[in-house]
Amino acid sequence: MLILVLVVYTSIAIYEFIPLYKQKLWREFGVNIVLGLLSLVIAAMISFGMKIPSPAYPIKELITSLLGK
Amino acid sequence: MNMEKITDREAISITTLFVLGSTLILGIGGEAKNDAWIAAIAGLLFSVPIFLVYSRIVSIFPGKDLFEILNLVFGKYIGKFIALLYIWYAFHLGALVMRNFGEFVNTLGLPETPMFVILLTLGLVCVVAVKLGIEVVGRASAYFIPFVFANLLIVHILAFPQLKFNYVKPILYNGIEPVIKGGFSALSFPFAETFILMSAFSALKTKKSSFKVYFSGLFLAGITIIIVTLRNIFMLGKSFGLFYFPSYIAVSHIGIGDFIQRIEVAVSFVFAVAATVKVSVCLFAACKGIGRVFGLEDYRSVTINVGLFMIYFSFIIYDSIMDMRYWAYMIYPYYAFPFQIIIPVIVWIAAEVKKKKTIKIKASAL
Repeated sequence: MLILVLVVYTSIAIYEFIPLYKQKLWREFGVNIVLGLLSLVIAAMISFGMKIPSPAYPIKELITSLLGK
Repeated sequence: MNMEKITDREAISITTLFVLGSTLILGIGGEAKNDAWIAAIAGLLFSVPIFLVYSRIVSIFPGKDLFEILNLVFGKYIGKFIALLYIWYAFHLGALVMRNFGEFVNTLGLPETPMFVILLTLGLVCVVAVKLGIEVVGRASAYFIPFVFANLLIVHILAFPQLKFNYVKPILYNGIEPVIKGGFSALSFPFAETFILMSAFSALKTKKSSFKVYFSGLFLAGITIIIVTLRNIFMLGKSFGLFYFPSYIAVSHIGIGDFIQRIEVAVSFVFAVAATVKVSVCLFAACKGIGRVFGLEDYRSVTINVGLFMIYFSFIIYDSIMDMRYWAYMIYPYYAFPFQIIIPVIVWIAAEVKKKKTIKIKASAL
């Protein structure tokens, strides 16, 4: 699974990042690198079958504590 | 950024499909039981003043999108902070809709397929649509909307022999309170989410069209939702609130003779089209917001990464379908309240004040 993820991300890097680098759009390049690395980490974690904490539950706690239910 | 233009008809189609989006899948007003149709009407009526505010904001700033408006109204820093909140909201909403569709397919259609595959296939279509621009989303929804309505109409006609009109009685047996609650959740769940559409409505052609677009979309979608809710109640009775996907279950009861049966797949077509449009618009809003906040030249360059991120997020967001249902009915209305009502009203008041000031300055300069 991890190999699949890596292959997909390499192809995204070739298709997306290199044109941005060549056009010297540094802001786009930076934002894309950050987002790409983050999503790569999450994809790798999903492919390992790790449990990733979801923000839905803290929001639920917060709202139930605010409303006092 | 290059200028994109969408016609009023396309914008109305986007609004209608956006509102129908996940509402048709999950149904609304489940807590009002067989008064859910009154809850839907109440939601429609509650949303009229909110929609007046939204369309007024768009008409004060013609040709500006949501994030530019926030920047103009609140200044650079606070504007950026609120823009970040809205990016999060659009992203989260897109992930929720994607998850609704994924749970629907995984529960009823393809139980053996991993949900990730379903989410990925839906998400990639949306990524491509957003990468091609809002014009493409507009044209696609204008093309699909006759099919959607024809489909709904045919299913209604076929369902006619099965309708039991006495299921709607007793009306208001549990009092008015659950109806008002259902109306509030109907307001927040499909109707007021259209604030996100403001990020796409910078592409509208004329200044006046925002009122037309918002209200035609609201009434088209609202009346469709009311009719669908009524049909579900006529077919399922009080138990309508117990199903995860009431429309699908209701339609699966249809049987004409021995040969027109199991036509619920026809309804899944409507779900798929509406969910695709809704997720595309949310993804578009998130990408455009990121583009504005970080000062990018074109929002399209971040689409693939944000789209993939949205797919993973929708995959991890809930543990089970029960969580999803609880969240959608109990938590979501309160969670979305600031995004849908409080901040828009503040933006509107600030925009009116700002407009008056600029008119005064212009008058004194003359």
